[in-house]
Amino acid sequence: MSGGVYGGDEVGALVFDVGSTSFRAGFAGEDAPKADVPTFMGVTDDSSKAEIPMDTDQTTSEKPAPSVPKKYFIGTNSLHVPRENMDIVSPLKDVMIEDWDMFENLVEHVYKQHIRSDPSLHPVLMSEASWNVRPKREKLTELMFEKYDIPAFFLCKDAVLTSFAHGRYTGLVIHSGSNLTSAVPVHDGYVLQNAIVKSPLAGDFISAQCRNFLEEKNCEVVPPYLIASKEAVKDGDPPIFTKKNFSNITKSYHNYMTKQIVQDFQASTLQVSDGPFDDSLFGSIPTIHYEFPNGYNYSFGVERFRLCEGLFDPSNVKGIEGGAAMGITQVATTSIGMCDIDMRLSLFGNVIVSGGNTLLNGFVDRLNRELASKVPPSARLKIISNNSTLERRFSSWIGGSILASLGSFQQMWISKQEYEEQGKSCVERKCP
Amino acid sequence: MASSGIEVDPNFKEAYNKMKTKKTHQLLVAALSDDKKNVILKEDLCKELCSPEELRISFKELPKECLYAVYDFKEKNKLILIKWAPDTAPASKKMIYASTFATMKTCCEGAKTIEATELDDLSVESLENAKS
Repeated sequence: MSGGVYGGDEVGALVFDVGSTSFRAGFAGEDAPKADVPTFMGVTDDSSKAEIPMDTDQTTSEKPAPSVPKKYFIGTNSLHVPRENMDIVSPLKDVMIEDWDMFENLVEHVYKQHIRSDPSLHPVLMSEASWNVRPKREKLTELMFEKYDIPAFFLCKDAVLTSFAHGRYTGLVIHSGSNLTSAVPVHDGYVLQNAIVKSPLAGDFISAQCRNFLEEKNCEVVPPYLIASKEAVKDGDPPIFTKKNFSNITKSYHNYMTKQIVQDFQASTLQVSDGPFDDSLFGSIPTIHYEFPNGYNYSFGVERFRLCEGLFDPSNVKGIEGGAAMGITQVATTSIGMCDIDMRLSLFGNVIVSGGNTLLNGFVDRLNRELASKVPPSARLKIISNNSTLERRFSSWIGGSILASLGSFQQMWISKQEYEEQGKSCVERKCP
Repeated sequence: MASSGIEVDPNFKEAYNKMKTKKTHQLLVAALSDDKKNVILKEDLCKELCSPEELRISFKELPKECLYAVYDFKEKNKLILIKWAPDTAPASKKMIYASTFATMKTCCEGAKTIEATELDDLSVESLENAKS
């Protein structure tokens, strides 16, 4: 019982779950995270401006300031304000932490704005991508102990948390987020690292498809920050609106704001078809009306199905090189195929679906139908998915929340003392 | 791996060993204690004799509960550790029972395992197919 006095109900452990769209944070034992902060952040870099006058101004005796710190804008409210030269960036790459400076600022923000308590009082359980690598895990452990002086730490693979939260000790976790779709087999509570399969066909891919489609339709998606006024127009008519003027708005900011609108469009109108999509079959399907912020409105029909078909059938999609990307069903079957033959039956029987992108209408039905045709005759297919949006998006956070709130979990934490005695490499031993 | 750290009560271990060596029971049932610190034996649910059909019946009325059970499948002469975690049970229970399963497995040495989420998982066929 080395973890001793830490953890459990008494101290209020924190659970951090970092995804490609948002950073979920909250207290263990609660049903949902307290904060859901975008992982994206705005950054203005004043260092280049500050240095140029210094070089030319020979009289100044001051040493060049130790590069003016970058200024970060974190959280939906400050992120959405149009600012000059503000770029939108993400500290993550491939759902692993890439830029540590940015990441620290993000954690700092969460502590200050949302947790509002001294970090040194709360143990932290953090989720990580199943394919996270050792140097990054160790660096994260070091950061949490050294910078925030937390009393105890635990790092857990998100696929394991998701599978446990669904009551599965063995199962295939299919996660489709904004950035990636992945299939991760969990067997006896461990991730089978060499059978993880990833594909870029996920939420962002659908957004890109939607943007291309809207561009072809000559429908410019104008994010609300640019709109000064608008008038109501008829279905399909060109929009009448006036634009606000901003100078030096970066492309990344504009893209980010545009993506917000496209994502809303996606969630409101798109529908995954039951079977392989065929234009001629969908001539008479009901349309869905959608109005863009600039007043343009239109009833979308067959496009609703066509735009997300690429998730399941990438063969007809423009802009993917050489069939490199796999459709979702293929991601799942490839992953199962890489596992030991004895496990396959139990993996097919426990397919767990999570992630925001899986909330597309009809997603689970289509996956069910397509996988059913791939299942060996002796196996039984069962797809498990939570019906509520909250649980689907936050499944790994919820799993972590339950685990970290257990009194008995105390002995599992890496305590500060252990870290001090053994160094950062203890994360490999305690949290394999 | 993320393990809950919950321990198994010695009472259960003792009962399991008796079951294994002396065949005292055909069905043992264990559940999480109220303080969530131990897995304890549920004596009122244990049965000296229990046919596969009775086994299913005993789980039929528990759609919101999670449980562990050890069943002596006499037809094939094997002990089977069952984790009962139906999809309709609350996430907190499912999480705890899944993350304690590793500890249960080490406790029930020599038993095969079944992760049951619905009654079909406890059919005679599934019992026959149970692997360690």
